[in-house]
Amino acid sequence: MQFLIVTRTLLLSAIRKRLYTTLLASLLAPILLLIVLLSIPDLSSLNYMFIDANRPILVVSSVKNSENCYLATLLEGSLIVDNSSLKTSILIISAKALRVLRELGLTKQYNYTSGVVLSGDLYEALKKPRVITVLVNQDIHNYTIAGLWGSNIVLLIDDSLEIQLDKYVCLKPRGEFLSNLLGIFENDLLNTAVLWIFILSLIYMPIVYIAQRRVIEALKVDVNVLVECGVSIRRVLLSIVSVLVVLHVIIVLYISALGVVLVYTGWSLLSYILPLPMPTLRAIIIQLLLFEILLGFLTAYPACRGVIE
Amino acid sequence: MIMTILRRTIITRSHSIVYSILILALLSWLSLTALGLINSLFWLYEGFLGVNEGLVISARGFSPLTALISRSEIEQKISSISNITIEYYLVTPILINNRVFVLRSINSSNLSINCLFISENIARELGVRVGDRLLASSIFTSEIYELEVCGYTNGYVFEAPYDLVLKIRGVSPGYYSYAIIRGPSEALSSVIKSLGVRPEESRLTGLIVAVFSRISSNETRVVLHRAITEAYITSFGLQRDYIVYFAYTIAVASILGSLIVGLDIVRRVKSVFKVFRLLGVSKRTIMIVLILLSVLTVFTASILALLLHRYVGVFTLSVFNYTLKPRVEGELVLVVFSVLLILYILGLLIGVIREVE
Repeated sequence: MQFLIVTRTLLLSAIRKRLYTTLLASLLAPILLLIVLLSIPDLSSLNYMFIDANRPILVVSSVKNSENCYLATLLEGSLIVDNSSLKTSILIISAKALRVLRELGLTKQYNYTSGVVLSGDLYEALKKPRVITVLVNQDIHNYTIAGLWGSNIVLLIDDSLEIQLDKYVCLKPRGEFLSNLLGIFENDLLNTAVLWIFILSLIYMPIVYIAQRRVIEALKVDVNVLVECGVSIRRVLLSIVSVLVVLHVIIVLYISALGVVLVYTGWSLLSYILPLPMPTLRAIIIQLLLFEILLGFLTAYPACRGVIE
Repeated sequence: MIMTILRRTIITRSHSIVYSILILALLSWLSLTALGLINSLFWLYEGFLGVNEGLVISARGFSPLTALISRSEIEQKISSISNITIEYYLVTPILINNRVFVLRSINSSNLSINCLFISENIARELGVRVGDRLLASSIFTSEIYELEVCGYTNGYVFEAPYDLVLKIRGVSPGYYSYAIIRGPSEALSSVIKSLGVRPEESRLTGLIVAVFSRISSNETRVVLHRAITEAYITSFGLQRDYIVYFAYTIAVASILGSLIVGLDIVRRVKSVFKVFRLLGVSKRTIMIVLILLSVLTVFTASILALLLHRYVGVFTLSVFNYTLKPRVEGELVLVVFSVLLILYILGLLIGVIREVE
């Protein structure tokens, strides 16, 4: 009970003497910077600027990393038309041709389950055949020309070929790569910001210690009165530490709230002149705020010991 | 006498002064790092594409990967100007094993059309050597290309013959992402004039970036910028000045603590000055000593901060496998250390007013 009364007396005295201003000044920079830097907008939301973001693209991968993936392999094969043969690289995809080709937009009317896509130049050189013979691994198959593209390889889509397939070909929306790219950049940016803020908070630890010492020095008269009234030094020390911690927590919360209001107000004003997405408050902010509070706890006792012997 | 008082103060309060110097050095190092990192983002494409000087011509877009210029249009505008060299480049993103890389065109008729030059480090990461084949996807055409590794490059960008990059980018021949014009400043001045910009609007040394933006089907407007990255970020509506102000705000805010360090040092040297006052030293002399002490403290802290910046490379950013390090220029250093000195002296003065009297 006595502890609570002593703590309340010292706290009220600190507030009356406006000692919180020194603490506020020492905590303002690290906490405001923490809120501002970690509230940058989610960069992956910028993919709206990418035209045709939903258009799928074919990606070769060594692992299956989405639902829309098919087994595939790249082989040297031959295209045979009218007794003339041409060696070329063939990308074999084990899938229904109709689905893949429609998704890629290479054809709209193709109804077969298998087919071949050639480069325009090759198609011209082979005298525009409708059907082509493909020789792969000593097996000969006839395929209809399903479409044309500009690539330097031949695309063969057939799910009935018995061949060893060592790769995956996946159909992924174009926008996903931009989002991933922006996401990687955002992560890197946030990791750097978190490390920077962490080091800044550690550097501000002695500054917070200085501010806490100033608060205690200003409360020295009150402490002397309390000691003369019969309160033990140990209890006063504990009360002063509690006062510092309470003030520290209140100020950290106050600056955080101020920071959030400032970020959102600033962003709203900026959005009148810039097409900016809204800021994103991240969970890491809470962890770093707790770290700031912990630093306040750690410096409070040494600061008290330095002034009150 | 001033030097004697200064020396005595430093000797008797050496612990406190060293403590202040260390805090100020660490604060200014962090401040310089933040400014340097934001500044390095302004030079992203310069480092990434390896462009340091000359007149760069590009078009309005979000990046060189999306901008396109017509060679014939540029040559039509500058055909009468001699004594200049022009290099045209087309760049495009490619996907290899789910990773995005940047491919740039090279002009060489001796190479096979599927030839690819990649950086040695990335080749090691991808597990490929010269002679191996890679499958690359085009983000623009949705097609897969087979490329043969023909050699290694020094930079971060892959290189391939123009015809191949053209196919992967999916544009007609004669289109490029950017052009670099090099020549004497008089010739560059003529080029800028022929593009429809008054040369006095630009400085003709180092790097100049001219961005074409189409006003109507047959009319273009050219805007000059100081850096390639700056030219592209304006397409997002972000002006260089906004980012510079933001960077300076962060830098200044991070060293606000120096004010409290200044306040604290007065409290620590107060007793020493009391002795000097009793010995008859004037208030003015003590004030001069305090200011000299703060200048000395900030100067030492600045040197320490620069050494930290030089040797402690903790903070980096990575874009397209390209690592950005804080780029600290003379004017940034001057700004940080001036603000540090002002804040520290301000803290000191507040301390003197509140405590020494």
